[in-house]
Amino acid sequence: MTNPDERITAALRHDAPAPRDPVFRLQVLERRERQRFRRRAWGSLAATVAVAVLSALTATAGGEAYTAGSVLLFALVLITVAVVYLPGFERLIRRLSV
Amino acid sequence: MEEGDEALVAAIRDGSERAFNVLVDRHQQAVRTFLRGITSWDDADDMAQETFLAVWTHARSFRGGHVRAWLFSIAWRKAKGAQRSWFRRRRRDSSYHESAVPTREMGAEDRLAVRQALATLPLAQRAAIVLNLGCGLTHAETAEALAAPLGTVKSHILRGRERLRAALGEQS
Repeated sequence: MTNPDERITAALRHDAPAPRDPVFRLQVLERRERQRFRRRAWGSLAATVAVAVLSALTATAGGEAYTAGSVLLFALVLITVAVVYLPGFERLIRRLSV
Repeated sequence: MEEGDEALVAAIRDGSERAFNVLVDRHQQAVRTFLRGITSWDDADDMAQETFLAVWTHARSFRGGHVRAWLFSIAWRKAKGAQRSWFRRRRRDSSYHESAVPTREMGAEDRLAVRQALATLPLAQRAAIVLNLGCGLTHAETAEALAAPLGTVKSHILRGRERLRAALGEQS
């Protein structure tokens, strides 16, 4: 190979990975699942803390504050369930509809 | 018939696992070659994985154009971000020099010379050279991937190539 550009190209491509590398793809998928799990775990933890704090405040309150706290608590639980389970549910619906 | 890259990104946007797998399989070699050219092997594969994760998470941010250039632009941002980290830079540099040990294979001198000359180039110049000569992108695609003006990229490639040619003992 005499063309200098070709020599440079050959040198740069020499260390290229295989065109098909299932191990790399699996590593990406594994990392994506870990990231997804971490996000859900943090989301659930934050929601649990919020629910616990709100429950404690509601339990000590009386009258209208108790009713408002209960409604807020119910809404928070609904939101948490939606955030945690809705993406998976959406994927399931999409898969069934295809 | 093979699906186009844009159709794959659209499917990924809708959460298609299959499209994501196809896109990773199709472009992993190019993205990893690019990152291996501008950083160490260990960091390169790590950043390549982060690049594809970003594709999954931010597929909605794709505004059309060349998917390959978009992938390289994500990889480039990851590489620049890593360059800013002192610890990562130190690990990369030592790993880079350790891997530059000459072997008796054919063309090993060329590879060593190119690798050492590349290491002396500024990161942007190195990236332009690897994308253009190593990954086969046109000047325009390279400019799109690096989010740099075409003239700047052309100048990076010209200067970088001169340095590499000189390292190979060639006249430009």
